[in-house]
Amino acid sequence: MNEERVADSIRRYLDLCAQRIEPVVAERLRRARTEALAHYGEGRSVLRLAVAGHGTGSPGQGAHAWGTRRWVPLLLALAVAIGVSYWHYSEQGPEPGEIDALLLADDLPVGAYLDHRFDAWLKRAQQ
Amino acid sequence: MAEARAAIIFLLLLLAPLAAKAGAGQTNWLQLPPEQRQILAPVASQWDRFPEAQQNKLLGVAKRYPKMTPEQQQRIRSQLEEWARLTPEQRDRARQNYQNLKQLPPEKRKEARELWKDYRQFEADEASTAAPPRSAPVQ
Repeated sequence: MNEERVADSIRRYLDLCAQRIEPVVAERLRRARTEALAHYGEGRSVLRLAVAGHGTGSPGQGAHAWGTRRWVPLLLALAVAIGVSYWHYSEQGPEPGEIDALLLADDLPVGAYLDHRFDAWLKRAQQ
Repeated sequence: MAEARAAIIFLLLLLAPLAAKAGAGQTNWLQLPPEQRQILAPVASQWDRFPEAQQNKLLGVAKRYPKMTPEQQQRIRSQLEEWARLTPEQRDRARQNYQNLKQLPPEKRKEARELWKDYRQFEADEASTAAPPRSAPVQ
């Protein structure tokens, strides 16, 4: 992958340059890095922390968190779609006409289900 | 960004069938396949005036019709016209009572059928006593 090749050459270039840094500067950079890592995580939102997963600290985990975050929109879309589909089908209940077909094919005529005396009997039977 | 775009496209694809279903609209009688027209023939003259929801339910009935026994099919044919003439509230009440009856234990359901027969017999008896005898002499 081209992206990986570019990253690799940047890494090699940085490693080469890092060897030429003066010890005093290297020490200042090390301290700055330690301080930055100690504050990593402050001010991040709860959602981002949850997505990043296993806390903060090592540079490898930062990369992992970024990789995970890339999937967040897709996962959210999937969750929304599942939610909407579930709501749609649970609202709809049985397929249209299913009850009508069974009712019309039943050996009790439609008139029975509209008869007030039958209605009253049914209510008593349900109690 | 590519992931976000993919997510939006994915979401739209998933929701498209729901939107299409919601906007399908009424169906003209002549647009129905011949086999559905044959099953729904008792309501042919009213079909184009039915609201979309009622048409969909009747299409659902037509869809299940071929899987039913000849007796059930006969009952559907004989009741379809009367069913379509009922008001939406009456149809809802009938559906509700049908579902309530289905939830009762088998012996209660059997009792309901016996009870309905008794009612019909009682009504027939009442009608025959109230009506003047057919062979009554004309004075």
